[in-house]
Amino acid sequence: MEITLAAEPVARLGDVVITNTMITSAIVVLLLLAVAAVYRARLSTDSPGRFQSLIESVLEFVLNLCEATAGKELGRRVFPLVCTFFVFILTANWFGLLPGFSAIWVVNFEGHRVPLLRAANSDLNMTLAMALIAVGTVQVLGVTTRGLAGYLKELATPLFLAPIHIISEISHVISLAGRLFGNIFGGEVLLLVMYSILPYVVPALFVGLEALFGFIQALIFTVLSVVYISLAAGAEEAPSAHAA
Amino acid sequence: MEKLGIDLWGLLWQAVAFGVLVFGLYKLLYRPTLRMLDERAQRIRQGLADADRARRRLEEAEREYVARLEEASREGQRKVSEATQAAQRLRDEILAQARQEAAALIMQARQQIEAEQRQALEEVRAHIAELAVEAARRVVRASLDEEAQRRLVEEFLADEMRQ
Repeated sequence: MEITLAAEPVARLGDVVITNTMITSAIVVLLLLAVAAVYRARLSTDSPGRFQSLIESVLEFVLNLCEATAGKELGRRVFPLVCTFFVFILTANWFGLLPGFSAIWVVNFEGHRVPLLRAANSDLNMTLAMALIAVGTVQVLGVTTRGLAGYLKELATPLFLAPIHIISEISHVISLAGRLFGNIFGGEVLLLVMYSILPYVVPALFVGLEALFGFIQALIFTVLSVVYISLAAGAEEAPSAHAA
Repeated sequence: MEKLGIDLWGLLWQAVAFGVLVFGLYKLLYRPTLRMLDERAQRIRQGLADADRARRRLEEAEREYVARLEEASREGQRKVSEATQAAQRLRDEILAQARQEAAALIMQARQQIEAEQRQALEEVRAHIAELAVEAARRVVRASLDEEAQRRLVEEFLADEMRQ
């Protein structure tokens, strides 16, 4: 049993290497788009079914979170991005806990036997991409709200703290990406070890725990993103940002 | 970086996959849902406003009803009072008229009685005179002539009438 931080390569298209986390994230994206397409087709204003009510309740939960943290206008503007963070991270985390998820193994182009699928958030590329998008949005909002001069002025006020501010912004990326990756990767390793040591009953308890942690991590990533965004947009647009 | 598994291609793949998801969910999920939630909220606001308007109308109607009831009560009391006064006036008029008529009747009766009394007295006097003449004639037939007897009787009657 070999445990690697990096995602395992599964296939190669020319010079491009396809890893198992790329396959998983693509499947999760397609799955969510399919669910959204079904939801869109069945959408009814007057008589929502259980499926629609479930999805509506999730969206309203995130929308309320956005509006409460970043204010009504800004909260609505960033809602699509923030909600996608929550939905994707949660689905990807729970998708990795499905029975048989890690049971499919293939021999890759290097002749190594590797799992075909691996939890998308156990790849730093995935969590880093999302963290960069979140913090990138924060910077863009900071510039659009205050103007480039105002943004730079705030970053360099007081001047001797400018490096600290820049490091702080970078640390947001590292903390967002590292926290999610660490938890999901750690959970995967824990489950793998548990399956190896005690293959019956006991791993089920850890699967339940991982499901809970998966939800918590999705929530933490989402909440922190909204808080960073609301702070970047300033107190005028985000009345409750200080409380967060 | 390589040991952590971070590479530019992997990063780009995941970022693009996430971007596609954001775009797809925005089109399929977020936009229609937000529009629907807004419509629903608008409908709820409209319903609440309608209910508030209906409540105000009801309160206004209740106030109007109470006012009309009080007005009707006042009008009823006024009419009863007017009717009572009219009845009182009518009663007084009837009583006055009755008194007048009664007085007239009494006066008429009294005059009639007096007339009848006078007539009776005349008749009685005439009758008494005749009786007296007759009596006197019988008494003095023997001593007085008829002329003397009549004079004496007339004098007697005149004295009697004066008394």
